[in-house]
Amino acid sequence: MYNLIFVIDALMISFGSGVLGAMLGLGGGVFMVPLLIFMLNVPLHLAAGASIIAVVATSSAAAATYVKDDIANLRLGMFLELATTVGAVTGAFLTSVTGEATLRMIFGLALLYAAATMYLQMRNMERSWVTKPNDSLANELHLDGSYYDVARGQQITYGVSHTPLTLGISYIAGVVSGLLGIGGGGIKVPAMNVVGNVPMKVAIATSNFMIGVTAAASALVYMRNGFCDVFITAPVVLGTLAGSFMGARLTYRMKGIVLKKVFMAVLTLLAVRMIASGLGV
Amino acid sequence: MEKILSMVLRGGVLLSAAIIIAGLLLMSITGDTSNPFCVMKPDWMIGGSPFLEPSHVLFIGFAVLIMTPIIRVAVSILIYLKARDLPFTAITITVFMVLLLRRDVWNRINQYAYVLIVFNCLLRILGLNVVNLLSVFVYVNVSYFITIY
Repeated sequence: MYNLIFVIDALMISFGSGVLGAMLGLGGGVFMVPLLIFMLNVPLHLAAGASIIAVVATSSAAAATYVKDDIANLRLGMFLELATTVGAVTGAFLTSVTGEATLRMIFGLALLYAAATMYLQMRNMERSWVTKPNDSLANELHLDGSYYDVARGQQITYGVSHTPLTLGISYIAGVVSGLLGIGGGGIKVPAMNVVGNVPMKVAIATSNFMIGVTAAASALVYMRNGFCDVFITAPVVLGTLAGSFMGARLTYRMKGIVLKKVFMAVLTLLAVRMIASGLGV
Repeated sequence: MEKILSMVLRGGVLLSAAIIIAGLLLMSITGDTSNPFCVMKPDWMIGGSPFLEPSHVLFIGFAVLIMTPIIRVAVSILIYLKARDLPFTAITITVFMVLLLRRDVWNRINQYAYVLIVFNCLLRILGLNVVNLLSVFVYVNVSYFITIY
């Protein structure tokens, strides 16, 4: 079953997935797992195992960009890691006891959520956003920070509010990431931005940095359960790495709106197909 | 501090990618598909077998890849320890323990953590600067745990 053609196919699929993920800010797992399932007949558990290791790779590779600009809040990230790593282990355990059909349905729902988030992003203007000071827990742990916003040309200082709730949502993000083998950034970023009142750029950068550790936690459990097959994982990791490098370069050249509309449609299609196959249609 | 972390992460990924590519090339050159290391298990990361057949090279590449964020967390432990930031030292140690996920090691570290906290408070009361002593203490214990892991 696993021969050279398979490896090349997997390479191409993950390359395309990496490019799209980098351009849309979604992460490679969301496109890759459904395509692997439908085009290459890979069982969902193995596809998720390959995807989670690819997530580790892309997150670590992107490390230099977001840490160097001093935008990511490493303290906040490490603090939220407490919840996401425990959640990741929980999710990875759950995936070993859940059937493929149920997982496909859950994955389809996650795809719908991703498409809905993209839609909302397109609709919203940059709403006027006010920095708020720390709440008590964040104050004790010194989770506040400041960064230099190039677009506005000023140094913005911010604090973190509703810290316990943000921690709880990060746990759920970890569970989803471990359960489905995706990055989970789609839940972490709103958790930090909307609930925690952290500026969007900081939330995105911090989430990128957190995802690698979370994915490593799930990856170990996936490997222990035998879900990581070298034949699938190797081309997927290499393809996604190459794809995200290429995608990160292309973002400078293309305007995103039409692209986002197209891929919202693609996501919805994939979501419907996943849910349908989970229901046994 | 951030520069070190990002260099560690980037270096780890590039190294693992190189090893994986090497493994794939080996596999295609030798045409050897009877690979005992195909479905990966994390227990091989300790006490691995010495022969370097293609699937084993591939596995080493993935092991390096997974270890990269874990080493990043370990480096953070030492950084916060050196900055004498006790809450974040505890936080990073906890994350590290969740990553390694061994209950016996976790219990051991908890016992040691209590000792460390009491020790640290005592020393602050006495006004001694013993950051280096503490970090050596922690380093010795962590390496001991890793060897019994």
